[in-house]
Amino acid sequence: MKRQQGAELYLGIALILLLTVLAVFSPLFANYDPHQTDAKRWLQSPGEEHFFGTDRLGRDIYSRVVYGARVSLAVGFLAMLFSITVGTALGALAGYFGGFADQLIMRLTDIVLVYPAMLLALTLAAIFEPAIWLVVLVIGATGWPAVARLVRGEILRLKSLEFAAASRMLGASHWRVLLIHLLPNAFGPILVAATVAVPAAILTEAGLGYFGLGIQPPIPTWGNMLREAQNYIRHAWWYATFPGAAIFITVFAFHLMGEGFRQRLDPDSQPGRGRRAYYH
Amino acid sequence: MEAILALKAIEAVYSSGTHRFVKAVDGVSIAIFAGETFGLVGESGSGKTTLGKIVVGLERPCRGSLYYKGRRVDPAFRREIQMVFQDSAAALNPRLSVADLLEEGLVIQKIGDRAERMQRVAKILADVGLDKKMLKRFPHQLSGGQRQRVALARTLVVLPSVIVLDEPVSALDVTASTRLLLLLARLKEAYGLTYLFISHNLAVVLQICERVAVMYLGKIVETGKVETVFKLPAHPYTRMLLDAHPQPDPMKKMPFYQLAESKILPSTAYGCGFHPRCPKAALRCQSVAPALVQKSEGHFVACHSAVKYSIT
Amino acid sequence: MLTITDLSVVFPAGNVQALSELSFYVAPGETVGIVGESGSGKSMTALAIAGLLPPAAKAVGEIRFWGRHFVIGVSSNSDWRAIRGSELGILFQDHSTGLNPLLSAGSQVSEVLRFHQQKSKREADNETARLFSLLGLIPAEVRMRQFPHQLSGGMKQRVMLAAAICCRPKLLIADEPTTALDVSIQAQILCLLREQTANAEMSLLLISHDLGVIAQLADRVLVLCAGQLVEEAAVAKLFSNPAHPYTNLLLASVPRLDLPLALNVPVMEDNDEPTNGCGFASRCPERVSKCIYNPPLIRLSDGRKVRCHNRR
Repeated sequence: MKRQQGAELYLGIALILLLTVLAVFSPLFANYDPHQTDAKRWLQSPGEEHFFGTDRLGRDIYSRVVYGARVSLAVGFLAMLFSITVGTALGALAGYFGGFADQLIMRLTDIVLVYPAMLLALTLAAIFEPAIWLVVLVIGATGWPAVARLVRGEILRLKSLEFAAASRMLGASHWRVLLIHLLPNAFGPILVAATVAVPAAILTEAGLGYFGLGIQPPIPTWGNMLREAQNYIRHAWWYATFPGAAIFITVFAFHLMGEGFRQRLDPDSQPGRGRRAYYH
Repeated sequence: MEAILALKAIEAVYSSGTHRFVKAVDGVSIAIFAGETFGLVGESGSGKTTLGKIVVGLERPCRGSLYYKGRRVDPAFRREIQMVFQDSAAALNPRLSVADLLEEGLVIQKIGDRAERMQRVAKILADVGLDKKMLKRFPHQLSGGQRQRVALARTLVVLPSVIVLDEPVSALDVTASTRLLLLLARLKEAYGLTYLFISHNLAVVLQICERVAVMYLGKIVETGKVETVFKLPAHPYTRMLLDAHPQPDPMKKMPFYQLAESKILPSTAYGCGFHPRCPKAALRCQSVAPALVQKSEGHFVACHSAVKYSIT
Repeated sequence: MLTITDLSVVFPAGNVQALSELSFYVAPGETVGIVGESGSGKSMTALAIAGLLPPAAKAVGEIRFWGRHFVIGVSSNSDWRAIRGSELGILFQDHSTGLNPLLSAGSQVSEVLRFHQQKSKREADNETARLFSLLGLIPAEVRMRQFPHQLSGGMKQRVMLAAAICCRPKLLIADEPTTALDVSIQAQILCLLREQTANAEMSLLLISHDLGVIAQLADRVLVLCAGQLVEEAAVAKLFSNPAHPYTNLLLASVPRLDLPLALNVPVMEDNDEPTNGCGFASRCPERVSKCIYNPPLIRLSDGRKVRCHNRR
């Protein structure tokens, strides 16, 4: 039972490390220039020369998938950082101080939660030229309320434990209690939220890319590759399959890792959390 | 003698969900003298913990005033008054080592540099009877008794004069509890402390306290010297608590004990709060609340029948 | 009736021997008390008999219960389930988690009756109402419809007691049944347990660290220290003339209403390193050189059993 839980976590981490290496050292893994078109070799099926085949402009799909990992992972991590930072900060303030701040922040999360990411992206895309920073901003801005709610609940629970009161009695400021005593103890759930936020952002980016609202060609992203592939799906199965598989594997890896963390940080197995030890 | 800590007519209310406001503490006045251990006993819901929290500033009274060393003070956190909680596991941050936990008070109060602070921490750790090797441990690696001593040491680093002990031994087994009680007595002398000792265990209160107040539904029903109150209880509630205490003696079996299911009396009700459970309840107990009157030197009781209550 | 032979429990992960070769019996109608500090193995004994040991524990031993024969680690979960709740009642300490918050108090008891005794809903409800009135959960019809969050701690504990005894078990295991409760409710539960064992010819295995509770109810007492049985005696003999120094320490540590706190209680730090010798040696005032070897359990001339080199 325990071994299996560990295995999930390590498989997830191993896959993510592999993807990260792929993204950072893309030129070493790609055997073609992802932008190099070749009119004579368009829509070739996978073979010795082109592992994943070529696209409608004769570009090597394998190399494009490898380069696409850069964009996907970068967007995933940056959007996660954005939503975790904003969500943690606002959730902690709401949970710790309560009252008016809590009301204000929670109503703000309500507003954002009912506003779909796609709609926000459409609005912004109409105003600005879609660029990577904009995609990160859109995804991050729609992702933080879930984190804020989680952190708020966690802070509310921790605040009721007496160690926060004990520190206040020693003369600690609110900031000290929040930053030294409460937030570090909320680390576990935040970590799990982070591992969920990355694949969610990658999926949203792919979705935006598919609708042409994400990062624009010729930069290869898994999302805009899928968009290009949609007209050829009957004639060239490899065109959509490989970018799709890349998305699937990445999301799967993060979920494995998230599930592994979640099990490991379960209240029953973490010292000091939950109720007093039951067995005398 | 002037009281180091005095509470005058403290009232506190809390709203409990769908219920209306309930008076947790209802006009309590207590004077605690420097160097004594004052016991506060009662069952859950008697308001004893709320009173303790008011003393340290964790909760605010809605009426009444607090005097510290003769001066009227606002209810707020102050270094001189600290608290030790019942659940030592919840009272220590699980992510901090014992060294960090003990150093925190000094860091907050900006006392000394790191070396000086660790020196003081080491001395206090020895004073509470813990080995130096405990400094590197985390709360979950300690036994309940050890955790409670760390919690006590944490308050001692800031040199308080009053410590509120809220059920400090009720989560411990007998041997750990006895060791903590003996340690508390020793530290009181060494550090010149005054204790407000909150407990539901009368035997423990008898062992460690000099004076005691018995609380029921937010009111003090009896107060005085521990020997007087426990040997010659004047209030039926005190007598009931004493009878309910299981004696560690197979020859002294307790009589059959049937608790009357008390109707929850609204706090605005007239009369004595204890009358639904009282074996001596008379008609006027339902209509007139008894005042706390002096029965003998320093022994106060709030009961209509106390004057006639025969001493057995 | 209940015979335990050579019960051992180890936690391989932490290299902890929770229980070693514990053997004892419980006669019909008898109340056997188990006392010891935290970590002495007393709760493990209860969990092992009920077949509820945590998965991380490795256990060996045999249990005979009314002609049924269980080999720990071999008998399957369904073997236990047949007796748990029907012939074997279990009452645990934690009244806040022992009840299902989504079921009414009455249905938690009647479900047990319907499962084990195949009673109709109506029969089960009538029986539950009878039990509720018996245990002072009155008015029974109202209490049965209430949900756990609407009941006080003492009432929840009584509902759990009702669920444990509703099938008239031959043995009730009560693990710290009153530890988290107020003294008046504790007294009531103890009296109810005493009555049930007297009337229903039910045996009781009472586990507690409170010697007051043990003295009130038990006929015979087992003292556990570091997973070993160190003394077994009739309750009167144990309290009047303890044979093992560990029993002595436990008795001296109990806060009493009639005697001052024993100041000679050894305050030595526990030795948490595992030892092959006597588990109490590091704290024992009568320690001699051969205490590094584990003493055998010997029978004294008056029928008591004790595990100490100095009592040969």
